[in-house]
Formats: sequence, C-alpha cells, structure tokens
Amino acid sequence: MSTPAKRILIAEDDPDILLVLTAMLEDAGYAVTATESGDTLLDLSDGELPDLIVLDMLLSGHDGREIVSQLRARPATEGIPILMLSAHPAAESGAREVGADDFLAKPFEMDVLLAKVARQLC
Amino acid sequence: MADIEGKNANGTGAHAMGESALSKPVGTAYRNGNGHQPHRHRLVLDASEHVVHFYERDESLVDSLAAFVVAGLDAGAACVVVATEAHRRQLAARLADGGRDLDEARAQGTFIALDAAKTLARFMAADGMPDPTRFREVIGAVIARAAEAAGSGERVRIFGEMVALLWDRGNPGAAIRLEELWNGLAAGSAHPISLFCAYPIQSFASEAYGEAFGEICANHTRVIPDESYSALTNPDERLRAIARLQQKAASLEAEIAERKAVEDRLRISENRYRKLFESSTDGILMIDPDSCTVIEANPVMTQLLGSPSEQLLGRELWQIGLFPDQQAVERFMQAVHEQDVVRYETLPLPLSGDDEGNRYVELAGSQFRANGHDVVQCHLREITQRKRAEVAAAHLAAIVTSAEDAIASKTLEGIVTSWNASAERMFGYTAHEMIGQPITRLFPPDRLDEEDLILARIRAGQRIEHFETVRKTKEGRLLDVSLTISPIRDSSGTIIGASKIVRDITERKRAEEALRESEERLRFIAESMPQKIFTAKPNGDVDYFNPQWMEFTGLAFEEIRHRRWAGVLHPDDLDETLARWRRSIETGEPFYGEHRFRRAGGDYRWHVSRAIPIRDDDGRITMWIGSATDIDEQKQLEERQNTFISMASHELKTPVTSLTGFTQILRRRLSAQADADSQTLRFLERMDAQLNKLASLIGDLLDVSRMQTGALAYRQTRFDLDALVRETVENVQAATTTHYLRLEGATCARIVGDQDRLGQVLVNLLTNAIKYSPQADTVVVRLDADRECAHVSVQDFGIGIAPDDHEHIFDRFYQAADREHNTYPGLGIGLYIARTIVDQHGGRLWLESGPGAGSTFHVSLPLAQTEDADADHATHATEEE
Repeated sequence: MSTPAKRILIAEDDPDILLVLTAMLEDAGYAVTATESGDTLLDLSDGELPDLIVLDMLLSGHDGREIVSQLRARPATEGIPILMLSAHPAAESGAREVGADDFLAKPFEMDVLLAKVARQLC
Repeated sequence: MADIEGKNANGTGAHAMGESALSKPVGTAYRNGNGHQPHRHRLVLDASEHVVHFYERDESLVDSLAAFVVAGLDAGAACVVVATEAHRRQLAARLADGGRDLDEARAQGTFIALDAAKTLARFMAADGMPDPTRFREVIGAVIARAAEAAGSGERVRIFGEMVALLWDRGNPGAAIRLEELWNGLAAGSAHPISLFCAYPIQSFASEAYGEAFGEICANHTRVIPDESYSALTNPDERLRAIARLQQKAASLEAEIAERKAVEDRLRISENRYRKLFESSTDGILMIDPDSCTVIEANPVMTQLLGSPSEQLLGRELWQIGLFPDQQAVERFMQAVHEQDVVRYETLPLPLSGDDEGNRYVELAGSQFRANGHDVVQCHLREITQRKRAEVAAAHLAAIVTSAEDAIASKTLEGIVTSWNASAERMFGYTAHEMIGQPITRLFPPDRLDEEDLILARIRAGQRIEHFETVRKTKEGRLLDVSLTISPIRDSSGTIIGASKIVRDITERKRAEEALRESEERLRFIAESMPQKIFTAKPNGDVDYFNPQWMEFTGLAFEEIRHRRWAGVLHPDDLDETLARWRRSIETGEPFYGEHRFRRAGGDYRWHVSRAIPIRDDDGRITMWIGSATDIDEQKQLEERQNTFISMASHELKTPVTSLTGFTQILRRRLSAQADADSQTLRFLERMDAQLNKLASLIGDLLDVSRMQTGALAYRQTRFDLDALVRETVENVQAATTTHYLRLEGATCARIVGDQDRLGQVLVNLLTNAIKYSPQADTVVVRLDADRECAHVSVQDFGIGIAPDDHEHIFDRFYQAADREHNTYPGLGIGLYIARTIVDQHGGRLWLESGPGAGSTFHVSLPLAQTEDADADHATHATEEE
C-alpha cells in the first residue's frame, strides 16, 4: 500500500513554464494540477485543496501577492504552504511579507525546486 | 685890569694865583665861526707896547694875532702883519671863520700883510746883523703907509716874527738887536705903534738860551702868556719861568678845552654808536686782538651765544662757544688781521644752548683802529631759519626733480615758471624751452579754452583734482593725462601762481579700453552660445544669467537672480541641488549636479550643471562661473534604455526558464534510463551549461539596468567571509575542468553585507580568471586580513592586461581584447557590476597586471564592527555617493 501522492497546485500563466513545472513535479512523484487563473485558486472547494501551491508572482497581469493575502485570509486555505515564483529576485521579501512560505527565482534549478517543495511538504 | 708890567722887575706886579688876565673876559666879545668860545687869553694893548708871545702851538699864536688885528681894525687902527706864509694863511682863515673879511681892510690899506723872510732880507747886512738904517727905511715906509690909512690918532699895530726867524737861524744876537731896533723905532715914531712879536717857545728850550731869553723879555713891555709868579728871586729867571709857565698853562687850558670839545663830539658819536650797538638785529662782538678777549657783546650776541654779557666780557674768544676750538680762533684772528673783512657764510654754533638742533650764523669780522687801539669787531647774523628754509627748499626741489610725475608751475597768467625732469620726459620740452612760455603750448587746439577755466578756479583759491584731459607733446603726440592743479601762495597768503602735477594715463586708458573690449567679447560669447551660462558672487548669489535662461524659463532676470532660480527646479531635485550648491560655495569645490529645470511651458527638462570658482592672486574666490546644459534628451534616452534593458531581460527570463526546465527534465529522464545514449546525455549537459550562461548574462543585464536606475537592493547580513569564498570556489571549480583553483590563506573575518552579491563578485572574478588564461591551468585565490580590512585576491596566469586598460576594464560595456584584437565573449559588464557591489560595501576592487604577466584582482572589504548587530534588511543603494 503506497501513500497517496501529495497534491501540488501550480498557478502559472506561461504554458511552457507550466509544462516544465508539471513535468518536474510529476517526475518527482507528485500529483500536479494546474491553473492559469488566480480566481480558480480562490474558488477551490474543500475536496480540491492541494498540499502545496506553487504560485507565479505575476499571474495574468495580477499581482500574486494579492492572491496570497486572500488565500491566507480564508480559513480553508490559510494553512496551505505557498511557494512563490518570480523573475525578480528582489520580490522575495515582498512575497514573504504577505505570507508566502518560500520563494524561487526564475530561471531556477530543478534540484532547487524539488528541494524547496520537499521541505514544504514534510 | 691886571697886567704884568714886563719892565717891572721887582715882581710886585704879581697877581694872585689863578687870577690871571686869562680868566677875565675880553671887552670885545669875539667868537670864532663855530660858535665856540675862543681861547681864553686876550690881548689888550694900550700905549706903545711891545708884546712878545711865546707860543707852543700855532693856534695860540694865531689866536693872539687875530685878536690883535681885530681889535685894531675895530678901533680904526691899521694893522701890519709881517709873518710867515703859514701864519698869514692861518690868520686869514681864522678871521674868515669869524666872518671878518680882510679884503676890505686890505683895499683900504688898513691891513698890510708882508712876508717875514722877504722883509727881513731887505734890511739884513752881510754880517748877519740887521742894518739899522735900512731897517728904519723899510719899516718906516711901511708904518708911514699904514699910518696914512689909519684913522687919525689911531695906532698902527705891527706884528712881526722876523725876530723869530733870526733866532731860528741860530742868530740870537741878531734877534735881540732887531728887537732893540724895533723898540727904537717905536720910541722915535711920530705915530703911536703897538708892537707884537712872537717866538715859538721850543726855540728857547735849551738852557743855553736862558740869558738870551731874558734879554728878549727885557726888550718887551709884556710877555705873553702873562702870569704872576713871586717865588723866583732872579727877575730874569722869573720872567722866563713865568713866561714858560704861562705858556704851558695856556696851552694846557687850550688843550683841555679842545679835548672837551672833542670829547663832546666823541660822546655824541659814542651815543649814536651805542644805540646802534644795543639795538642792532645782528649780534655784535668787540674783541681785543692782543688778548683775544671779549670787550663788548650786544644783546643779540648774548642771545645767540646763550650767555649773559657778564659771562662773556673778558672771556677769551675760544671759550664763548662761537668757534669750535682755539685753532679756529687763531685762524680767524690771523685772517682778520691780514684781510679787510673776514666772512664765514655758514658757521655752526657748537654750543647752541637749546634743543632745536644745530643753529647757523653768518659772521663778518674786521679789525680797525679806534681811539688809538686795535679792535676786532664781529657781526653775526643767525641764518638758522634761512638755512632750514634752504634745506626744506632743496628737499622740495629734490622731490620735485625726482618725482615720477611731471610737475610744473605757472604764473596766474599761465606762464611756466618751473618744469621738472619728468615733465621734460613726458612732453619732450626741456625746462629751458618751457620756462617763460605759456603753458598753452601743450594744449591741443580743441582744449585751449580749458586754461581760462583752470586759471579762474585757481584765482578763486580752488584746487582741481584728477581732471582728465588731453595734452600734446613736442612731437605732436596726444597724451591722455590726469591733472591735479593747486594754487601757490606767497608768505602773505596771496595767490601768485599754480602748481600742476601731470600724470600720463594713456596706458591706463588703453588698459581700460582693452578691458572693455574684452568684456564686450565675453559678453557677446556668453549671449550667443546655446548653453546657459551664469555667474555668481562668492556668496552664491547669481548675478548674471545669459539670455538663454530667460528664454528657457520665460522669466525675467529679476525673477531668477540671486537664489530665486531654485524656484524653477523640480521639487524632487531641490534639496539635493541646493545642498550641493551650498557645499561648493563653502568649500570652493567645483559644483556638479543633474536636475530638472522647469521650462516656460511648464514641463521639466533634465540639465547637467557645472560651476567652477575664479580666484584672485591671493587665492580668494572672486566669482563662480557655471553652465547648465539640457540633457533631457539623453536622460530620457538613458531611461528608455534602462527600461528596455529591464524589460528585455525580464522578458528573456521567461523563455530561458522553460528552456532550462526542459533541458533539466530531459537530462534527468535520460540519465534514469539504463541504455541512455551518452552522447545525447552529453549534448543535454552542454545545453544546460549554456542555458546557465545565458541566464547569468541576462541576470547581469538586469542588475546593470537596476544599478543605473538605483533600484538594486542589497541585503545586510553578518557572515563568515572564508566560508563564502570556500563555497564559491567549490562551485566554480565544479564547473571547470580546465583549471585548478587553489585556495590559500584565511581572513578569519566576519563581513557585514550582501552575501549573494559578494558571492557574485567572486564568481565573476574567478570566471574571468579562467576565461582570460586559456593557456594556463591554475588560478590562485589568496585570503588575508589586517586590522581593518579583509583581503581576497584572485590571480590568473594569462595574457595580462595593459596598464592603459587597468581603469577602463571596470567601465560598463568595456570589451577586453587579446593581442589579435579578438574580443572575448561577454557583455563586458561583469567587472562594472563587481566594482559597484564592492564599492557599496565600502571596499575596494583593483587590478594588478601587465601584458603577458597575468592578472591579480584584489578585493578589500572592511571588517564587521563588533557593535554591528546581525541585520537582515535591504538598503537601497544610490549611484550618487
């Protein structure tokens, strides 16, 4: 009997990067779902709640930090670990301020991504 | 009337002493022409008398004779005078003095004058004795003639001194005989005769003539002078003695009277002299030449010498302070003795007695005889004032002569009276040519009317100062001059002329003109150049904006001068710009700033302003000159560039992210397969590496653009430098197969700063070292530290960098090239970024290298201070630091 795979929700609007992220995480054995829209994250039903959210800072023109704030404000999602992605290394502090648990600058090393994800899920 | 009867031999006719006929006035008042009392003895004759007069001096004889004649003529008698020429002359003179003219008497025949010698010769015999017969003839005839002229019954008075002649000839016997003949004639004459003869008493001086003297006396009725004398027993002796004494007494009295008169005259003369002596404005000194002592000194003299006269009189000349020493006195006395007058033009008074400095006198001395004595008289005049005036005048003349300025003087009619050397030089006319000429000679024709105005002012006592005008030289050259003219007054204050000082201001005028021209040119340049130019006073107030400012701002100069230009600055730039301007003003450091100025339309434009101070010879700032250049275009371009770079690099990151991702996924998946193709794996590995480079380059570009815009963030943590270096070296070594990275030493230092960024610097240096030493195989990293800094150096053994490039390599976008001028790959921004980061940490990054000698890059970083707490905050770094 294998433990069920952790579920990771990726919110990324670039299709290639989304593909990369999905492939990396699935190769590592995670169950991955993806969305390009921030609203979806906010509309998650209880059954759909992931174990980790990987969120791009700039999502379809919206500021990812807003989304993080809102996620943190909802009881359902406030405890879910969030890993933020950004092309700006300087955005890290801003991300942590709003409640993100970790940060990854693009372009990123696969190993680094996997390490951070693992840390958040244990 | 007391007479002495000559024939009275018993001497009883003697008078009481002192009561002589001499003391009795004469009946006929007789005065000589001078109004003086004549001599006291008078002649009174009555009856036939034969009087003899023994006279010591001619005067007394002449007196008696004159009285004899006058009495006779007055009485109507006739007078015959048989006398020497001299006596006749003296008689005539004496009578003329008395207003008695003999000519009338002569014409009337009442006065007959005969020469004694000639008459005597007429009756002298060969044997030297008078011949009686001839005597009676000659004399008788004369008497008869005289008697005829005389009034009837009147006497004939006869004076004769032929007897004296005989006596003088040494023939006393003949004289006595002649006396006897006279007496005989008188006795037997029908006419009454008075006889009067005279002998100079010197003739009887000898004792040998004593008897003869007596005989002569015996032949006379009366002897003059008559005096009573009773002591002598011998009547002859007595007579002689009497006669002698009387003569002597008479002479004496006469002498006394004479002397008194002389004394009176002398006293008057003396008084006059004394008055002169006392009141003279010169000092007068009388000196006895034999003893060289002071006899007299007048008041001015005592003043000059500073001693009262008591202290001067009797002192020797060399002691009184007039001459410096005895030798000088001797020389003076010698000179005075030899010459008429001795003059010393300038004699300093050695002992002046006051404290005004030296005094000088003019001395004139001469020697003359007075009252039978030699006396030396000195006149002294003090010339100290004159001398001082002379010195002052000479001084003044010297000043005028040597003055640089031309100095001249003129009369109130404008005629030149003096002309100094500088005037000669300035105008070319010599003093000789100008003195006596009108000053208008120097005037150009159009300025001639100035002279009237000048003279009018001078006459009114006014001074003319710094009057600028034009004058003409001898050659006709025109000079720009500045005149100062003052009235000259004489000692009474009357204006008698004017003195002029002429200064050639041609040079100054030329300089002024040149300066004006220069200023004109500068102004023209400033006004026409496109740049905005300004000048400011040392205190920072802007006092000049060229027209470009007013055109740009649309404001008037008044609205932006001094510090009002701050009003057109962009609010965001205001503080920084003012601070910089203030700092420059205070320190004198050149000003630099980039800021926005508001244009007339209201929009702002970027400008770069620079200003430098202008200093005078002493180093003091006299003004600031600055310019402001519109760099808005460039600035905007820069911003766009930065924005582009920022956006571009950001944009580039997206595809790189996915590329990197895919490559990594592929590698992972492939290496998990057992039968993976090694070449495929290798290719994938290469792709990964290149993508890393790409990502790195993009990251640098982004950093650079952020650095430009000031958006780069630095974290501050306290970390172990050695650990960072070790980790970085390991990472780079892991990616390098061509070189061995050797680590030496340790810093044991803790640094406060951005670990990632400093790591970035190290990575950059290490990768450069590897890249630029392709022929070598080693890179050495050394660690060291001192009390203040930690030191990391990275050495490669490659091509080296030429000294010219040492600073340039840290420039943005600098491309290094090898000897074949192949540029090495890269954007050339790595070292720029590295340096910026190191600078931000307060450290230094520098290069040690030479062509072919490899390169060593040195980094020094300040050690963390013990007080610094571990901080984890980002600070914004600005480029302006």
